[in-house]
Amino acid sequence: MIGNVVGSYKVTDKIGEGGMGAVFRGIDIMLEREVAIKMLRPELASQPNIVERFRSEAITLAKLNHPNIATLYSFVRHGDDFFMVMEFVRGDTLDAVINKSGAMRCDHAIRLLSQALEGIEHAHRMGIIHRDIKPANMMLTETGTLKVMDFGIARVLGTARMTKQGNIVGTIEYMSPEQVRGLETDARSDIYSLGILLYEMLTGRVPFKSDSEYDLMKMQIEDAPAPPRVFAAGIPPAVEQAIMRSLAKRQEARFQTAGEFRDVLLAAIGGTAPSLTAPVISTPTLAAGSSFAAPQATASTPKETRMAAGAAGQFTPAAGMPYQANVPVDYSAYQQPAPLAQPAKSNAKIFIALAAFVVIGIIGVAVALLITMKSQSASPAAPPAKPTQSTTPSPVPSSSQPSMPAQPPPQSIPQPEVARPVERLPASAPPVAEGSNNTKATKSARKENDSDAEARKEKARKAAEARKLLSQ
Amino acid sequence: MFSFWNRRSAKASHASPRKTAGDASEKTTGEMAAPRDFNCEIEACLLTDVGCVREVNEDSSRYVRPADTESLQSKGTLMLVCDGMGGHSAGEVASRMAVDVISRIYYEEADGAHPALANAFQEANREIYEASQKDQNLQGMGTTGTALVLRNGHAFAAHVGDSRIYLIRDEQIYAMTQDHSEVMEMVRRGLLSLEEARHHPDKNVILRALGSHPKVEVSTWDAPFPLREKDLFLLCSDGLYDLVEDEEIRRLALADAPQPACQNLISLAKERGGHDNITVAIVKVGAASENGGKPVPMTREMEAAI
Repeated sequence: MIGNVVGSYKVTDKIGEGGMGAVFRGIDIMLEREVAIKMLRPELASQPNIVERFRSEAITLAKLNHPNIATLYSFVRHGDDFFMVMEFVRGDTLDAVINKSGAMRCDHAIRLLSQALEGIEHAHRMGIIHRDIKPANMMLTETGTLKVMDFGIARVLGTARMTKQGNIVGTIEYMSPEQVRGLETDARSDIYSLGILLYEMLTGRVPFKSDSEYDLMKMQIEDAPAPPRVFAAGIPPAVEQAIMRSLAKRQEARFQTAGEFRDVLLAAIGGTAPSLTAPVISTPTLAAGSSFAAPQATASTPKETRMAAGAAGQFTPAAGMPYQANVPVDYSAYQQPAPLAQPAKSNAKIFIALAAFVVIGIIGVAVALLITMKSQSASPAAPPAKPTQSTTPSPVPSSSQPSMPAQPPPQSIPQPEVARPVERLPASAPPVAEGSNNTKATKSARKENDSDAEARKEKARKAAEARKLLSQ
Repeated sequence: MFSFWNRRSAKASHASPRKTAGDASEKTTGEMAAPRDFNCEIEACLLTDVGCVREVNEDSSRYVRPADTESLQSKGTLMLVCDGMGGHSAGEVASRMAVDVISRIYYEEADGAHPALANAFQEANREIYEASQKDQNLQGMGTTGTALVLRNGHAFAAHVGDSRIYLIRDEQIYAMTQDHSEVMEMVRRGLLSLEEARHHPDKNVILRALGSHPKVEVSTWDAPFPLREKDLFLLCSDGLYDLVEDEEIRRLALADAPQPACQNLISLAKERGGHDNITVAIVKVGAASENGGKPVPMTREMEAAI
């Protein structure tokens, strides 16, 4: 590849390898300027539908023209290969900067991030979502300009059929809950990723970290991040609030635009009042993010918010903090994950129903345990020798349900993977289709979600009780 | 060793039917079962189609029934579906290699069905991986592999990737394999519902494939699976189940004899866009009358390839 001429671009050296393929440095022979050349991996380039999507993404990208976005110059076909020719940005990725120097000073980090936010806001106005915001996609030039790269590529790559090799279609550490779940993504998904990015810039660590990518996915969907001041006490509370709001599990509880996020951050370090879009966290409720669906209704200054935030602290700021914000804030209202498939319920009902739920949950668990124990005692730890014996889920529906509508449990029979029984979808009971079209697998997945939801509610209930006690 | 089975599929015919507009039958190739008669205890049909979008059929598949009674007794019949992926013609190369290697090694191995299948898969992985390292054009190729063996009244299976085996028994359909795919792993961990998995943008990402890495973990069933009369196994690549629901598969598979059933399933997937290659295989344990409902000894299968 090196030394070749592609269109009017001469490839000079290889500078990296991305999800899309190799990245080269090159020279535009006609204009005598440096360019970055991204080659679409051959196994992708040979799939016409991928190439077509890639090109249509390039068409959209070509509309972007902003100092904080690496500009796309050209889309070139050369033989069987396809190339994206981009502005060559001399500098370091933000990834390298963070790795080298660790956490940044707050005002510095916010000035950098606000550049990213300007670029992203421009893209959002043009209807383009980045979908793979992470420090490795941000270039910091020698003159201190930040440029965002690789818009929309994650989406194209996601459509290719491939074997998983690392984080090939996105980086889970920076992925919004809706993106992890494969739901509709929008501008607010980028805001979430930018919130993670700022968190990392300020604390030197991402809020969610795990060796298992599935644990990481679960964290993105369910876990509340530790407030960043736990790790970097010098962060102004208003900045922390902004970060926590950007990391809300539900899109509607986040900043709705990149501009809004930027304004709040700049106001927090500049001392000027934000445009009253700051989050209000005075009345945490159990309803998922309900008080934030319409933030303007309860808008107040951040200061009042802090005053109102109550005493049930989750973390203790270190002594000698520049901001006398010795006021722990409860961010739990941001952190109610969106339910998998349940309609929202009203607060009062939830409160009333909670106790009942917990009891039912406990009974349910007990029953499940009993059943499990029973089936375990019937079948030895070793894989059953004969899959159709009653100890193993049998494909034969019990004779008492002869006329059941038949979409019984996929995954309910022979256990292909003995080694990892816990990960099995399947129900441990014989397939009794219950007159519903749902497969049992779906049911068991929902069930799990229910019990998770129960656990969350239980948590929330305890928190509410604690607050009550404290306030008395 | 090739004499073990009397008819191998006409590979050239499924290799690369070019896409032409419209007519499914022209583009659909494969093997068809012999007409059923009272003697027939296994009825099988295997069809593959390039679909409506792709230019190349990267799926490869094969039905093997040894000619000599001894191999038939000791090794049984083998149905294989492999769905290749990779650049240029690499996906096709990978899936075809998998079919060749697995069907060869399986019948060479002296071991029981499951260990023999596992060894055959490992060998396929090794050969495909080596080939991909030798040829620049084949780099990164890989394939799914799903195999079903019926022998002496029992079924055995092995798989890697996301091609599936379903069982339809007593009018109900069961998934007999768990996809090694990102989204199904998320479902197993309670992160997604099955319905969400169907629409997840990363649903094409598989976690294991034959030939894409030097090592592979092969899944086999825990134990031989006892057959019953009228059991119907259906093997397919994701080109089918992406577009056709389990319930529809069940209904169409039961509605007809294997050959028209396979054809109808493929037609339905194509009506819905047929964005991928589609392979469907049906293996039906025959209605050998007298021993109603009891496990059937399989000693008298009929030839099931054209």
